[in-house]
Amino acid sequence: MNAADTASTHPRRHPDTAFRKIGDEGGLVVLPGRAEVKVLNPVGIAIFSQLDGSKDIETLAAAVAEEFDVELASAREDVMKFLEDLKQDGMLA
Amino acid sequence: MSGAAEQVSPYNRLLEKAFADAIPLTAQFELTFRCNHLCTFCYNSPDGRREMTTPQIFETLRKIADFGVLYLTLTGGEALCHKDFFKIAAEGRRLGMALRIYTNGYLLADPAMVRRVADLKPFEVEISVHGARPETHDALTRIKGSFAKTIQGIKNLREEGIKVQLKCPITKLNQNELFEIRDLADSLKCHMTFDAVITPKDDGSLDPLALRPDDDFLTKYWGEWYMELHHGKLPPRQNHCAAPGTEANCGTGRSGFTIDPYGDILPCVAFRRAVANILEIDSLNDIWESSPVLNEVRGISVEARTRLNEHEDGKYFTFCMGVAEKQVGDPLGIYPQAALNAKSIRRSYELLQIGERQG
Repeated sequence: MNAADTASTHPRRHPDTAFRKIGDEGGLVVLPGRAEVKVLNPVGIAIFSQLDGSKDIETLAAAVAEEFDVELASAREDVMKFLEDLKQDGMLA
Repeated sequence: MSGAAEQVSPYNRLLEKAFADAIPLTAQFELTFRCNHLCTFCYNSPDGRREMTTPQIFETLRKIADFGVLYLTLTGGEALCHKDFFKIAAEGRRLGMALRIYTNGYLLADPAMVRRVADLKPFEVEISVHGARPETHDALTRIKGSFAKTIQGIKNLREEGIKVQLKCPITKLNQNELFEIRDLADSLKCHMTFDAVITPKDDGSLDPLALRPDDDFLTKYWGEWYMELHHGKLPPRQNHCAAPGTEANCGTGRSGFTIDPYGDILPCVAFRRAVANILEIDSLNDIWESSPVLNEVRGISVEARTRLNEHEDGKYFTFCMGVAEKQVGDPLGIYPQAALNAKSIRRSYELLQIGERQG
């Protein structure tokens, strides 16, 4: 497995990002290089905080399914969609 | 369910939540009181104690990051005068915090310095500009050639694509060139803010107030010039660090905190009551909720807003409890600049026929 494969199966947030969860309301992600701040909802910040490169998509989906009490298939779909959004926003390594 | 990124109003909602729950998002870290300028109105008052060493600063950064702070603001004195500034800033970034740098910009006239700043990928750099002309700026910094170097520094940062925020404390020396300063900022593609309150020194000396703009100027500034200077923006009716609709006057000891070069933790940069020393605690979690100083300051902040609301011009006050404590000896005491500003802002809103809840 090469580095690109690992990045797609074990996603990792961009090292330049900074983030903070705020209560149960969601969280903020700062993209310093672009001087931008993104707002994530509670599910989004829960996923984002887990993106340290050690967890595969299945593990992330299982965590979301358990924490937010949703079906695994639904959680998997949402995680995939969210990761795609993050990738397009330059928030993944 | 969706994890998609949202924008605009959810941001304010999160800030209000953080403010209400006293979740600090920002730490302002004064790395050193050393400075390469001699500004006569500077509020810093070094007391001769030994400043923290670089290893102690690293320990402090770790405690700030462990506390979950999002924005790390490095300031001084002049932060770039610290011999290990780049090591310290890089460590802050490595620990996952977004970096703001407050500087006078003098050393950034050197393109090599700016490339090192760019490598840090700062969220933004804030620079003070004290005039539109060298003679004005240099008279206030008391460093000949400082205007040229600062402007070159700003240009260098912009060329590297770094967001630069300019700020100008209004003094009697520069009060007649604010439009030129604003035009200068526009030409540099930087956002500009003016600060109409010159504050006492941290040791209580009122000497800097000798430079405060005169009352006639301030009345016109708020009533006639503010909106034009700020591209149509209305004058502020609450402190910039207070969340909308909050009961508190400001974010002191709530939305952030300050650490001085000796390691003392302060509720904010202006309200300098020592909470504890960062080197003597294991974790900021140990003091944030239980500190008597922080709890008193948060209480005073709510009391200040309550009292201001009873004042004739109360809905129009921007009020700093730190300035009040230093200037009139009471954090709830209304100091002359705040009263004049509130009265002038109220008149401005009345002329614009904007009600208390509008705008």
